[in-house]
Amino acid sequence: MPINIMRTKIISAVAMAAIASAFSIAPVFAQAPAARKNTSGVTEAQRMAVLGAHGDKEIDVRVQSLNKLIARIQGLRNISDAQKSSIENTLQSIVTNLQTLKTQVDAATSTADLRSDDKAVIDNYRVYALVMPQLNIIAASDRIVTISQMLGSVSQKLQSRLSSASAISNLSALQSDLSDIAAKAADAASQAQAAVSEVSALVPDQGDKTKMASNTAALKDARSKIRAAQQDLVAARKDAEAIIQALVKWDKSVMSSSAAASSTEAASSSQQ
Amino acid sequence: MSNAAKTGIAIVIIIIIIIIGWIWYNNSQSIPQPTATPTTQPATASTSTQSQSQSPNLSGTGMTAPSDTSTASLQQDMSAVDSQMSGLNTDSANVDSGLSSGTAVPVQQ
Repeated sequence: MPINIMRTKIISAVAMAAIASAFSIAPVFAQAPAARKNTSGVTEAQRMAVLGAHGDKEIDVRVQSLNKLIARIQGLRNISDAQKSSIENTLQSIVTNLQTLKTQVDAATSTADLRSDDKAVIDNYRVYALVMPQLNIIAASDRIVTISQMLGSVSQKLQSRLSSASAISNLSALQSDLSDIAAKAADAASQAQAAVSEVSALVPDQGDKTKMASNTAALKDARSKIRAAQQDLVAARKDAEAIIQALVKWDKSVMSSSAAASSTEAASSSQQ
Repeated sequence: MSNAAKTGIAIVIIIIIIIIGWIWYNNSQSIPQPTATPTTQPATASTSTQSQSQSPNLSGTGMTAPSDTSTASLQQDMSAVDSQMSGLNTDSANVDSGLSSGTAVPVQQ
């Protein structure tokens, strides 16, 4: 399992995000123009209240998402504690920037200030839009690698059990299922690896539409790889379950045969 | 009998005793001990060691020891797999959600 490669990719992703986070302020007023149009003709105070409330709400939603992602990153299994800390620091810096922005929004004294903040943040910020899906893909990939390892462990146990149950019915089919588990788990890990590789080098578009399109395409393709890996794991799990059920049935038949043999022997002994 | 002869006889007796003791000691070393390790024991010990060497990446996942191939162990392992699969569903949904919110952000105003 090339976990080291995955770690390297993750470090690259974090480094990119960290560099980008130096410019990070969220486009919290992404929907603000609509709000401004809807509120045209109302007083300055009312317009400020609408814009400020909208900004606060958007910031809160994003901070909440980032905090959830930080908690998820802490649960990653295939990267080191140092790498986790690096990712968490990056995410925490984005949270801090958002909270700073919220303070600015709350302190704004005119709609002009708010609009100025709005334009500045949209011109400079693309970190949140990239980092969230990027790190979610890395987190999902990490989980896929873990499940692949778990199924590998189960597969070894099943191989051991089948070796000592050579008279089990449909042995060849069960062996085929066992091979399928290994193949599916390996493919899932490979897809996860490819997804991480695909997203780790992405950088925020900074308003470049071409880059934004290529980022979006890469993220969507990585998502399709995650889905393919997920389907692999579902199929592998199904194979494992089928073998376990066959072994349970086999155990019962062996036990009943043993019981029958014992009772026959006992009957034979009593007749003598 | 002269003193020299007595001394010579004593030395011979001592040498004989030493030789007998050496032979007895060697024989006692070559006799198999009743507690000698059966040939299968190292394998058992090895298996026991393996049972404690769960991959560090899988610790805390609920997986049982790799050496435990019982049906109960397999069923517990499958429950652990199911738990992670459930987590993967959440991760996958987060990927979809993050991607949707990312693409929804307008480029410029």
